[in-house]
Amino acid sequence: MDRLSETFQALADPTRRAILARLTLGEVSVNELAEPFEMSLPAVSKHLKVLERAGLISRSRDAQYRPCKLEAQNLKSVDAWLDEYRRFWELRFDRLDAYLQKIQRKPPARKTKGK
Amino acid sequence: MTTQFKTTLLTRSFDAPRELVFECWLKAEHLVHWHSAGDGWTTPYAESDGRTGGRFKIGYASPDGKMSFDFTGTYTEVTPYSRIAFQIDDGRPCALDFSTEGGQTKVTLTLSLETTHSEEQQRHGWGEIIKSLGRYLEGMHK
Repeated sequence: MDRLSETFQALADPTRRAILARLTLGEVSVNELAEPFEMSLPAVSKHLKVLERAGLISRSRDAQYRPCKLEAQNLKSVDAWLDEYRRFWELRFDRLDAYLQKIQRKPPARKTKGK
Repeated sequence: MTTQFKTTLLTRSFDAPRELVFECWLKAEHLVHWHSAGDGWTTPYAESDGRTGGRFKIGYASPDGKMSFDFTGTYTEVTPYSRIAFQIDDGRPCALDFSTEGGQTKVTLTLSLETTHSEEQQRHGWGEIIKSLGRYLEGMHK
């Protein structure tokens, strides 16, 4: 699996997104992270491993207290990727619109942009 | 429970019957006329086996004809006149939903991934994380 797919898999879980949201407030320990989720430490650790593998967080190597830190750069690349992908399809939607008008021999249609 | 993680990328209404818009996405004889990289790029050929599990291959050639590549993938779901889902060979998943609204055909393009949580949860969560990331990045620049 490439990095981006790994990132999306990591983001496709609400608990993991909640963990990321919590980390936007600053570094925290695994214990602190586990608290609001009513989850066991091993369960939280499992989620952290997925996030770490996807490069979305990093963990200090200190054995006693391993604070988790958000790696914003990779999450930013997801956002940039979504944007690029949207542009890719927008162009094709434009061309399809023009093509449909041509084959139906109709005056230009009013474009309705979505959200 | 396995559902889809969805995020809507684009919505567009076309002034054409739903059947026609749907077929434009699925049939090679239509695809070759509009599915291109734009800016003078041409589509020398298109192949499409418009069934669930079928493959598609769309050729892209640069304006000077010196560069070309294939846009290829597999249809993961084809439901006549309502849904086409496909996975591009680079791993990117996509779904197109077709509906009729006010005499026009509305097409919604979503990025979808398999997941084990409800769609509503996913959509909400996605927006939240992007928002909180935005706040985080703003903070970093201060």
